[in-house]
Amino acid sequence: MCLSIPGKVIEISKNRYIIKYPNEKRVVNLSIIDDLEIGDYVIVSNKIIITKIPEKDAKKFFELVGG
Amino acid sequence: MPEKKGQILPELYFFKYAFPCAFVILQRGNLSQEEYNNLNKKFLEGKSPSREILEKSFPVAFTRIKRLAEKMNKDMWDFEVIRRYWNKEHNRIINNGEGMYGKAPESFKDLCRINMAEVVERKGNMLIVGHDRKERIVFDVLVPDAKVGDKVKIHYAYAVEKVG
Repeated sequence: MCLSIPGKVIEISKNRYIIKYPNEKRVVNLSIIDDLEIGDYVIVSNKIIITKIPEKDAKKFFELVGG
Repeated sequence: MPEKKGQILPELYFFKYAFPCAFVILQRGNLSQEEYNNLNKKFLEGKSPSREILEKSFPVAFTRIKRLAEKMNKDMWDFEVIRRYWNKEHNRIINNGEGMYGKAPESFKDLCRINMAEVVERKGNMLIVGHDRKERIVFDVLVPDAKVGDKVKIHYAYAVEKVG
């Protein structure tokens, strides 16, 4: 099963993103997506933001798995 | 096991497609950070862990591979079984909505699928690829010689192999 848990971008400073998950916050220093905004939902792989996920899909995911 | 000319070993073929999902298994707490780091090190070296480690790290995939191998009447480590798993079975499971895939949003399922894509631009060690009229950015670590116009298979944020 390779459905990844999305996180919400809650802070952006130069090359530093704070991502909020249901139970924790994580700092990520690299993104391959260059138009990120606070409030975006993202997938992080190997400490790198690899993609944005539509908000409605992220919310549906959490309804599905809880959290 | 001797390597056939032009064909990689089944362990490495499996691992190239499976590794992009390892972070999900880490997220879910089914791999420790140390286990993940060891997999990541092997991945970046272009090497495969042992069969034992692969089976322990990706148990869901191997449950399905065993089932497929029985249908094909072959050993689960037969190269054709592993190849068919990643080229057909894996997407079939997602498209059929087995398990959590049944209710998962499309954008999540699309990241999980093995998609055929075309390289449209290279940006350093990243490739911009197009598939199904969409664009995606992927790492070139497994296909460092990929160039614009090449067809590649993608899984999550990785171009896994060139095709054709």
